[in-house]
Amino acid sequence: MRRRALRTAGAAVAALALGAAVGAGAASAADVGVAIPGQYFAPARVQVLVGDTVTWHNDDQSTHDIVAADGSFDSGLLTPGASFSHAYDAAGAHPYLCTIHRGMRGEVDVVDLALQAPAGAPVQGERFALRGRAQAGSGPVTLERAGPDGAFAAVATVDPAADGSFSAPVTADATADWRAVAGGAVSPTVRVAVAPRVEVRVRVRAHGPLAVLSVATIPARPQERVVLQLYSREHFLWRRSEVARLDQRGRTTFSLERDRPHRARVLYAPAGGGAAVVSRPVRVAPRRPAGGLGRRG
Amino acid sequence: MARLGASRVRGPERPRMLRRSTLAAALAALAVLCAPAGAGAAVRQFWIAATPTTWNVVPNQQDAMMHMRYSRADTVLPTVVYERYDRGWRHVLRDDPRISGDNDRIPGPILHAREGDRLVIHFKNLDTLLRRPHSMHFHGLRYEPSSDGAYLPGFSGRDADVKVGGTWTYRLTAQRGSAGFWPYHDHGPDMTPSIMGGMYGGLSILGPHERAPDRELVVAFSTMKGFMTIDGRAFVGNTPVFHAHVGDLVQWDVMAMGDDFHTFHVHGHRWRQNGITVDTRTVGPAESFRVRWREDAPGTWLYHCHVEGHMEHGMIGLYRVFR
Repeated sequence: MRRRALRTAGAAVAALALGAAVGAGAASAADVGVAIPGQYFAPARVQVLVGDTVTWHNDDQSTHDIVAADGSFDSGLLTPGASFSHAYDAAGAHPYLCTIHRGMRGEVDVVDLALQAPAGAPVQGERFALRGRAQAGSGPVTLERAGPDGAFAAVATVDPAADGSFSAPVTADATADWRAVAGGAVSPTVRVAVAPRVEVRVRVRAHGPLAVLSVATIPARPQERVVLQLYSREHFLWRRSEVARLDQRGRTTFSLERDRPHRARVLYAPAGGGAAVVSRPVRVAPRRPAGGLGRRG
Repeated sequence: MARLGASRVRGPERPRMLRRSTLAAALAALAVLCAPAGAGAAVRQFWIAATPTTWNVVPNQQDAMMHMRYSRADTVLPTVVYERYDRGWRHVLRDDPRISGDNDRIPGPILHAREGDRLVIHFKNLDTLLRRPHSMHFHGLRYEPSSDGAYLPGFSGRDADVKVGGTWTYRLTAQRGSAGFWPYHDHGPDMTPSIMGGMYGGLSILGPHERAPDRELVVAFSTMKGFMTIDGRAFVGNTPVFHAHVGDLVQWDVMAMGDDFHTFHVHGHRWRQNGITVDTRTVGPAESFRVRWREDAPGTWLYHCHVEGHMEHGMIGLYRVFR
């Protein structure tokens, strides 16, 4: 159970860093935690606002140190259980390392205004929230979307909470770059991939030694491509198996040998860009030997 | 005599197909190695280069056991590795698929020889990415100082400081008693970042009358981009998924690089060490050993470093034995 406990602690620290960066509880600058559970930093990369403080805590059994790559600060030796804090006053990427274990590297990205992409791709036409954090007292935050020519145009304006955090509901229409602007501060650009409102349906039927997978896109996406993916149990991932072009009705078929069980799904990646859509996974059972009941063991 | 490696891999998921020429070259090399002992000492030539690559430590972007996901930004890095070539560095040769499951490039090529052989290793620095000088430094075998490959200002020569585009030939002897598994690694002026980037590999030496194993499984413990890695990869499904069959003579080649000690453990198996039965063995930086057994335990097993924090951060893989 020690693994689970350790990992949970790590996840909690990561969440704390994210939470502090996006929604700190105090009106003043936030304090973001970075753990040292071993010979690595968790998380290795954090985003903070100008004026925020980062605190490293050595949870490892060995001594470490925190030294800015540009030499601007040096924690000295951090024995097990010790902490070190540094306040960041200038925007930009600030890499740091442990000079005792030089493979241990991390980075603090300091921004004037923070904006986060949503987890997962919103579906076309649906509302989703763009979240971030501004300096307390910086006034209303405007969310801007880049057009096809790259020029940004205002879409929504929100008033941040007292701690600077904000959440702006916007509509997903196409994959685009977004940024937030508040009182002269501009956030880094964030890409939001939008999934098309398309459903991919897969039906399986046995055909002798083969299983035939009939694929349909609804609404039909004629002439576009779909990818058959098979799940690799020992690699814990979906692997591309075959690519097919959809016919005029937005349909196609794949066939698989029924020599062993498969888990299959079909992925549709829009030709014009945007997030991919996948079908529900389907199971292909192996063919039973002649005689019906199947072998045991 | 030589059993065709590719046809031995009959798990439910076959490894990536090799190009026919690559396979032929690898099988030819194997045929030489598997030739009956006593055929006399051989001179084995290898062409190795330091080449740039883009490396993903966690290709499936997850720790499947703990349901943690990692973004590509956290797991992908440009780096430089050792690769094996045919004569004159014209085409890359991949290791035989019997070796190291689906491993590629980290560790570098496993160089096979037999006690009594001489090894002539032609090295070229093709590091156009980081433009660092590199070298090769070998453990376990006999060599002259000019084949040491270890940088020491005022003493070492070109063997230890091969500039981009340059070459050096290292000459080693697999002397009596050298049978086993030995590491090699960069020992040039920038050896530490180069080793952390994956510039290490292994020498696999057979005794004079020893038969080659049916499956040779290479486990190189190190760290990369904050992960604890086996063969440059972290977490199950990314670290090599080794396959074997009941009845196979299985050989594990185990080594470590970096700053840590590791404890190599395979589930469901035991072996003899110094007259006692063990199922876990410690390996420190640049140490190495090999373990052999006749496979008799079908199933899907874990192999891992048993230092908990190391296993937690990626040092774990799958070993699948088929009937």
